[in-house]
Amino acid sequence: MNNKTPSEIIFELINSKNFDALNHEEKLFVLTEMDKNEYDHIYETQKHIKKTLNEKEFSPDENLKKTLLIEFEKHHESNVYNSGIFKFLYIKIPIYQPIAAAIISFVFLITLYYLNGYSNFNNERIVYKYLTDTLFVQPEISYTRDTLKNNVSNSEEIRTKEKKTSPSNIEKISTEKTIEASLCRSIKKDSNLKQFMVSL
Amino acid sequence: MKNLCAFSDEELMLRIQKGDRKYFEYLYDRYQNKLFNFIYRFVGDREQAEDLMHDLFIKVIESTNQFDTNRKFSTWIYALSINLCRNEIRKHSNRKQLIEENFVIENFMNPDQQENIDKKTFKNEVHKYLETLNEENKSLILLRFHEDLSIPQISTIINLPEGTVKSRLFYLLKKIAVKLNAFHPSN
Repeated sequence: MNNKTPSEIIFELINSKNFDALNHEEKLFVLTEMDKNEYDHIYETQKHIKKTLNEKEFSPDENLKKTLLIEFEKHHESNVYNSGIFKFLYIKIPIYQPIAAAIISFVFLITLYYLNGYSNFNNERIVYKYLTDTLFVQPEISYTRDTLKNNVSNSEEIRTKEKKTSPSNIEKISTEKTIEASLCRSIKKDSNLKQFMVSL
Repeated sequence: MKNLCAFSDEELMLRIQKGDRKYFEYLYDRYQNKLFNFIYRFVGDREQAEDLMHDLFIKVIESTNQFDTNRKFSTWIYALSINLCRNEIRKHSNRKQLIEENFVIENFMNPDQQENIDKKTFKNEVHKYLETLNEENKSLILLRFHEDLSIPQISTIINLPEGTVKSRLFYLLKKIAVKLNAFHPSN
């Protein structure tokens, strides 16, 4: 009771009991502030206010609950899209960024495509050079010409190119016999080949 | 599974934070009448009270994750209600008077007609007097005598020391007692 103001103390007493229910010490304290009638009057007023305010209860419109439940679901749906993988998928970025990314990807792919085409063209040239040159630089290897040709490429394109560009004397070697000879025959045993080498 | 009635408000809020509609529905049912009557008595207009109820629960939905489950839910929601009501009253300073008929009890148990009239007059006068109070005093009276909240809870909601809440309530009661003395049913 020491740190409390008289009004606080009387309020606590009024909340719990009427004047007659107070003990002697409490009665003496109350009487220093007000008389018995005033105390009881405030006590009664408090009870009546309580009763009056709680007498009639009103209920909100039933539709309000439905609306709120819909709002609740909407809110939590949008929350799902703001978490986990959805947060990453539904990230907002300026429109220029995806456009720039698409342009860069396109340029990169086009560059890659042309570089790849150029390198294939070079490869074809090397294969052709190798096939035609072998006969002259290393005659022994000429036996394996058809084998090499088969290993490198069987495409009709290369064969056509070869036919068109190779000298007519080379073409003569390309008989069925020569192909058979590619199975490790020596120059000595092959008269046709010997004849060809001499003619060079 | 635990019965819904056994869940405290704070436990319900924990589940609502996870997005469970069932718990929100239950919490709404638990508080709808209490809060609606509180707001209605605060603003004195049914339509306005319904709008405010809607706004209040929208606020609850939107700030579910901000609610600290270590705090008391009732304290939090009454503080929200009072703020909403205050803002609304400030917006519509020319608020309507409570329709007296709403507070008339249709059937009295006591056959004494004179006593019935006294009670009726007293009730009307209580409501009229409430209308004349400022927002803070009205909050104090409603939270204490309508919502039956404890002094520490009211102190948290109104943001005043407990001692001040008690003193103010005492002086308010004293004033009302003097003002309504003539209409008091016991006189």
